[in-house]
Amino acid sequence: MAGIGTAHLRDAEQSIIRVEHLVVEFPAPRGQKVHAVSDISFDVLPGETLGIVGESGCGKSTTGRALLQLPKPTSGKVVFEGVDLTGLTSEAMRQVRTKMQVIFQDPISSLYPRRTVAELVLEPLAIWDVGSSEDRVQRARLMLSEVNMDYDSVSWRRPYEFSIGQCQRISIARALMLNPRVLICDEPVSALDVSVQAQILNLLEDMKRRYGLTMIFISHDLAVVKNVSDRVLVMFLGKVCEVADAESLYSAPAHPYTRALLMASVISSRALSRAGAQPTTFAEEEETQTEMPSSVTPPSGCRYRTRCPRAQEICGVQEPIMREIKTDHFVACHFPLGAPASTEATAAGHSNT
Amino acid sequence: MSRKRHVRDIDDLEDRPLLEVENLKTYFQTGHGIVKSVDGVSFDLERGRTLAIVGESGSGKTVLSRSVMGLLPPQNVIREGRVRFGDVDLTNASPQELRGLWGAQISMVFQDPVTSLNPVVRAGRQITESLRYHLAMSRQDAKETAISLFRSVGIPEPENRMQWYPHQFSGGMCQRIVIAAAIACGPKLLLADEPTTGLDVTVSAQILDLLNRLQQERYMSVIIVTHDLGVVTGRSDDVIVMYAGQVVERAPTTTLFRDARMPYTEALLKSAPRLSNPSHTRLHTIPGNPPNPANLPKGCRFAPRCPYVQPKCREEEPPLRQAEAPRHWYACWYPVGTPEGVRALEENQAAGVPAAMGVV
Repeated sequence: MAGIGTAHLRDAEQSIIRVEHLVVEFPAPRGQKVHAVSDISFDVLPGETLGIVGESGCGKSTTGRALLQLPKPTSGKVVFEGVDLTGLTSEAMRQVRTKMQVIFQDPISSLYPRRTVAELVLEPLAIWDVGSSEDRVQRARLMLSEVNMDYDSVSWRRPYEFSIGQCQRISIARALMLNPRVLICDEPVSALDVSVQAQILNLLEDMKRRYGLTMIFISHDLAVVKNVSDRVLVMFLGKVCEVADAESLYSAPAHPYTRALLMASVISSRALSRAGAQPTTFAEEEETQTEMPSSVTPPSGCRYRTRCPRAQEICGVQEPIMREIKTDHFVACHFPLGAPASTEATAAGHSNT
Repeated sequence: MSRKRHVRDIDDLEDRPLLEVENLKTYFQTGHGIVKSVDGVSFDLERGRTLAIVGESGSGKTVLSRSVMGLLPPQNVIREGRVRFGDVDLTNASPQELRGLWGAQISMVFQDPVTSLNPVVRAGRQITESLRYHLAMSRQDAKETAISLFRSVGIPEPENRMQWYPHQFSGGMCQRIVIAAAIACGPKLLLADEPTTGLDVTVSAQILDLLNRLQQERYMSVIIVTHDLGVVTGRSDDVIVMYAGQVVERAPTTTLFRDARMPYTEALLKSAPRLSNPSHTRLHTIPGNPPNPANLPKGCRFAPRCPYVQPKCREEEPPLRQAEAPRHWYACWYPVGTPEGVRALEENQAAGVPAAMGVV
């Protein structure tokens, strides 16, 4: 599914981050290009959590990194607090990064193994020369206690002495040292056991509330994304499929891809809800083909059409444009579920099946 | 000229399950003392059934599956107990005997499909190899069998893909090849160690469907080792929950999800985020960390983190006890959903035991 268009963007004045027509391409052999992110737009309001879901290779991590200009996007705008980050010098960008922090998937490799916890968490303050050394330690003590760690007993230890969950908590403490406004979480719980995952998710929610953070939460796990997000954006092969508030998206997915993703998770978590477990298979109900099309030569028109059970001729010709099908529920699909077909599709004489 | 078949045939013993594991212990000798990774695990598995082994990292589930198969190195490992597979005692089997069983009668699918395949050998040969070795098939027969296996695990254009190298396939496709190789010789038992971890949800749903279908077609017994309770639901007949090297609960899947008795199982079930809950639902957490396997606490190993803990739990280790439901066993002195359990929880909440405070 490909989706272009900006119908889902809200008032530019209100948003803290506004991404418009973001494109990220990487060079590939023989002069070709990997179309990692192709013309996506979204915005985030202050205090909001935006969840980005999709399968591996859909460009969700690239999007998160492009916000931080790591690397600079090929084209498009990333407006943060009214400033377009793509036009900034690297020094100005360095200043902005204090307000936009990131937590990565693998907490162990994101902590430098030879440093002590104190060095790790104090470094942001040292770089920016914030406060006296007592102030810094004071701040580190506070942030570590926020993540349920005691400064005096952990400050001299090194990352290998901690479990993976504890390392993730140190990463969170470090990210919050400079009091950022935005926290980008790139698969922060994917490597964790379910009980540790619950601790980290609760912790992120607490931190968000206490420090008024805005979060962008990237994950492939729909249940995790639903738990933390206010608004959810579904990506497929570098395009946005659907954007809506979490409740609406999960209760009434309109994009066939969103539905396929949800079915896959529902089948695997059905017995978790104590209702009777019906042994149905995924293929019976949804797509039979789950291979990702190539991002070097993406399908024409809607990029999801090769996997889509509803695809028709027009899907290969014309890329669907993002449109509102319900209040604050946007989809880029010619034949969305539970909504009329797009005007282009109707004009071309296709009916909604 | 006929080649020798390198396969050890096993006979099912009448009225006995295919696999019986009795009081299996696997300890490692390390510089920090003896690490009790698997400590007295017993279970059995009937022909054609699926058993899920669930636990967090470090609970010993992977060591258990390797210990059952006999895949652990001989040095510094203490392995006690008995593993009977058909009429073979796996604990005392010679390496030659095991070689005749591995791949032929017992197969394994590992977590990372990409590293399980040999990167410099074409996909087809990774399957024909065991057919030629174990079943003494001719080149042509083996090739034809491999193509039909590729087809049955859902690889498109099998004739062409036989010639591909592993790096040309996606992770999900590699896992299908690994599964095809594992079932090539028609094993009676398939062990799948985290078969879908690292795969996308849609792919993982398909791989689990595939395992299910193959199991029914071939009447295999399957053991799925996983940390994800969602994976086992609706796909396994029975579930074993492991904690710190021991089985803490064992039940038919539906019974376990409806009627968990062991507080650890209850906590695991509650800590997973669910699609049916509204956004920003507070998740249940298990306080503390799993115990150090080289220095286990006295009594119940879950006691330091348990909301139901009583003085008895810290002194005496609970044995596996039978619940009212058939084939449901649990190890707990104050089980969830019983009057003793309710009383224990209330007392702890009244006394302000931290572990009990978050439990609703």
